[in-house]
Amino acid sequence: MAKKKVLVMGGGAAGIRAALEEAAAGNKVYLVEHFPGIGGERIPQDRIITDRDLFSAPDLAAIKKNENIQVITNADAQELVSENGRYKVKVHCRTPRVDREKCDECGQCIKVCPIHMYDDYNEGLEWRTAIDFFNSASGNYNIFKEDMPVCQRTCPMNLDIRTYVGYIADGKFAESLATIRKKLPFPLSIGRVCPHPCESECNRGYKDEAISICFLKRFVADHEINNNIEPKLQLPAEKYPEKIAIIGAGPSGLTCAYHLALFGYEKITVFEALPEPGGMFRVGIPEYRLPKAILAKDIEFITRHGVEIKTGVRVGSGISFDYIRKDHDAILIAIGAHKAMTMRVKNEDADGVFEGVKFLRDVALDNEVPNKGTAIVVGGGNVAMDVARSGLRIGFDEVNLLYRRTRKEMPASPWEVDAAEHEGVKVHFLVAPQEVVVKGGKAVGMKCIKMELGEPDAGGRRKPVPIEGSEFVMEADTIFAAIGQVTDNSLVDEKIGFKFGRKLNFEVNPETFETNVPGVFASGDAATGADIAIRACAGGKRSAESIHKYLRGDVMS
Amino acid sequence: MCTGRMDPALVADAFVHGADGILVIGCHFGDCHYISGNIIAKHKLDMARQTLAYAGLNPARLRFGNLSSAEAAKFAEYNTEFVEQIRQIGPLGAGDEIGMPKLGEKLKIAHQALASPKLRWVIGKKPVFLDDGNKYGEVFTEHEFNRTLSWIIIDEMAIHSILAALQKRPAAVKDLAEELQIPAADTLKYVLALKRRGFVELNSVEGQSPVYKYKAEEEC
Amino acid sequence: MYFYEKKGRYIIDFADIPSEPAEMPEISVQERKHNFKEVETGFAGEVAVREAKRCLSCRRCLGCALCWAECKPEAINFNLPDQDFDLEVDKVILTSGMQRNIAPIAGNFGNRHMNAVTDLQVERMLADTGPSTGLIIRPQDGEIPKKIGFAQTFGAVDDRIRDAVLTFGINEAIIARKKINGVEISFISPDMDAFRASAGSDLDKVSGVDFINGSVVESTEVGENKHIQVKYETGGSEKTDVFELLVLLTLPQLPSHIAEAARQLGIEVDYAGFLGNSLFKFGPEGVKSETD
Repeated sequence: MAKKKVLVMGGGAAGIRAALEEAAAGNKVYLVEHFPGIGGERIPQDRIITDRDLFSAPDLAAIKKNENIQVITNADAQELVSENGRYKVKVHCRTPRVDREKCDECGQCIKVCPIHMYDDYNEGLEWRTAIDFFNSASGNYNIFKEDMPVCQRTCPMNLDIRTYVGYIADGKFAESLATIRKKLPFPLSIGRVCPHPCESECNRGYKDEAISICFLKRFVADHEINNNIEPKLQLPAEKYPEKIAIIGAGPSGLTCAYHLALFGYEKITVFEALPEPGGMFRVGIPEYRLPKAILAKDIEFITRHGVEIKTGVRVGSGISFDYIRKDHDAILIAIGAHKAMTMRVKNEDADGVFEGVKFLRDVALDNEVPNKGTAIVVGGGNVAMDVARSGLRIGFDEVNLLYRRTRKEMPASPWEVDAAEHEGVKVHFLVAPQEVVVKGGKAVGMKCIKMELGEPDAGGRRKPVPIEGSEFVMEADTIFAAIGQVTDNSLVDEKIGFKFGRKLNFEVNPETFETNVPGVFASGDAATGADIAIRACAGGKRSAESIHKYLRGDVMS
Repeated sequence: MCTGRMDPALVADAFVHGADGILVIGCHFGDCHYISGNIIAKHKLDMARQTLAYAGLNPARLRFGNLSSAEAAKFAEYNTEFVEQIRQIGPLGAGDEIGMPKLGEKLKIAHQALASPKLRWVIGKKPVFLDDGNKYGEVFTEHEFNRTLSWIIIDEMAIHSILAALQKRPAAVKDLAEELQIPAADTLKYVLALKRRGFVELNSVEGQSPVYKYKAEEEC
Repeated sequence: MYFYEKKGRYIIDFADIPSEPAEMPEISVQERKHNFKEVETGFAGEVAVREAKRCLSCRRCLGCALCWAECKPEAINFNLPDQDFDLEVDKVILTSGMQRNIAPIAGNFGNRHMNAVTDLQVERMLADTGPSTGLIIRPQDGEIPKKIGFAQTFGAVDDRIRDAVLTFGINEAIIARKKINGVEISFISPDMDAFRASAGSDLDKVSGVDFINGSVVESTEVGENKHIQVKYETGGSEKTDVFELLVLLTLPQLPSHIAEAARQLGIEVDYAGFLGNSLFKFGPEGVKSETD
């Protein structure tokens, strides 16, 4: 009988036993384990032990001796495909940085290594050194090197936080800012508005409080403009002639444009429907969080790299998408998510009910907005907080915010909620809107119902359930819906055949940000659904890399 | 001889042997015949000072200065001023964080830490790490490098104190912790780490206490 | 022990690091009335530098190459690349791997206490080749505890997982009894009665362990030795006990790479599917689950 090939995944006791059995049956065995070593004695969990068998210890010596077993550690099997009764598999083996053929396990390296760190195999009971054996039975010396520190890994843009914070500690502010700008062209803006997921992961937080990474980024960026320092531009010598169109001058579109300019593209045009560039930075985030003059500095930095922004050009009405497509070699759609989701309550279309995002946009563009009497804001995200806080500033006497869950479940950043309350916004938790109360065709209040938290749903969030008979009416002159945004994708014709997601967003390959239409990419909220700005910027950078690859072929990767 | 060749362990050794102050004078920065000898000297002495301060020595007892051979008058001035400063601090154990003879013991530990390969190797990497980066090409900021170095100093001081104590007699973790004034949880981790590397082994169990002993290095 | 803060080792007291975090200065609420002035005013230079110095510069391998310099057989190679290769096989066997992943321990039933450990950590302690040479020790001072509590702090799981977790913990208790002369052990689980019904007489043979059908309400660190006081509910009344070491039973989970491989081969499996030394074999004759 021909020798068969067997892949065993998992180098625990069961995997080792299976490998030995298969090898005994005359087969060639590949034993693939995720960790850098295999085996290890274990306490049984399938039977209550007797005196004689305290541990089950797999036969590591037999594995080592058996020529028909190839042990592949520090590896994962990827892309397992079944084909004509056989299995094809791609194995990715992370380097141990120790040549196991040469290593004689003398242990001299661990005596000199200056670094102590958490030991995976022993569950952190002791420290291993940066180079060390995996477990004492199997040896398997390896160097443990993390890809990036935890802050950087958490940042959607993988900003090199450790380095730019280190430069600030050294007083080298210009170097710090240059480090940030290698990836992010919006340090002034992101340094003000980012909800900084990096800080929630910061190890310092286990000791006292996380480093204020976001504010430090703002500091180095502010330092440059406050001291009138001329930023250095890093434009490459080699230039490329292709024409690239970017639709939407928001965080994602402009970040993409910036990176394309850094690659050497000279003909980058950004089409912006609104009279001002900046996207949600400009019309979504209120002036008191991100002043327009500050944002303008970030945008100026980007345009100085040779990026042209055409404002007041709405693709789909002023100029057709097809025309842009014919006239350019690649297109990025980064139009954001500016359309409010409906509350799905009765009389929602009554006079006096407004979209929260539209209100913010009108305030930002100095358009006329309602500003008298009492307002209700429905929603619990950061947009709702921006609407409520802006509402008080624009002139409402009272702003009531309704949220159907509790403070703990609120998606808005906790400091935004605190600030809103601090400024006088009345936040009502566990209250859900039911119906807009209308008098003479105009909204005069909201019929609400009180809620309580029920059982957790699949995602672990406790679902709010209405309390029978607890209905009440809250009076208001103006009602804002701020429960989420979707993408207005009407700029493209159905005939082109784009695929759309649940939030009317463009469906893209999550790695390359390419849509199903060749040469057309999409990133930012238009691809991901409404999300935080830094993630939009990250998408912009990634799509620039993909566009570059698309235009240059495989030559440049 | 170039100050860059100055061994940090020598500095510690001088204090162990009773020196009250040490002044090291190298060439001006930028004037080094060997390009960066005096910068390396400064790095090494900064590390020695930090380690010795961690052991309890008043850091002002170790100073680094820059002079050229043509500045005789300045040299005299430097010396007089330094000697005056040391006179004010007083002899070893006076004007330091801890007194004698405890300071003497700790200085011996600091000497061992500075003489062992880890600190010497890492400090030698400082210019490389700051300019070109480490083996992975990661360029360090000064802050990052200093953090890492302080960490190694703390570890090395703890390790050498524990080894010195265990060389005298086997001990339980809680007794070591009390003697060395290192939190017991950390002492345990250090002892286990030393055991893993073959410097320490379990001696016996007395009552509730596992007792560890120093393991002499096998002859190869 | 602070569970599963794999970063734990980074958190170290450096005397020269200021610990006070910097506060972002803001304009007063009064100043914000009826205008859109920027609320946060930014750090001053010296504040920013001080704040930046709080950064621990987390890093594992330094890349200093001292090991490389010391390695006589020249086995260390920092440029040794990752390897990707394709295999074509006739059969794939999935097992649950060599490390047992665990679900995060919810709530605080001792996860943040110094002398609380997981059942997995106890397993490593009990191994003769392990860090503590087979001794059970307290992470706080390395002493051998004379009174140990085992506690199951999660509920409502698959029966097979419940039985596996309890069997695992009980086996540890049995070994602990053998290793530590005169040790007192309490074993608190809300599922103890249900488990007893399925384990039957095997459990009755275990001596010297006080099995309690109860739920932990809260736990607190007490005294200088950081013993752990556990309040638990059993048979309708609340009881309190103090342990020198508390062992928290953990909820095993299938490693994600195994679950993903199974999914690619067209089946959904969870950890329970691999219990009792089960494997999943994918061969020409299709998938089959096997138990020894």
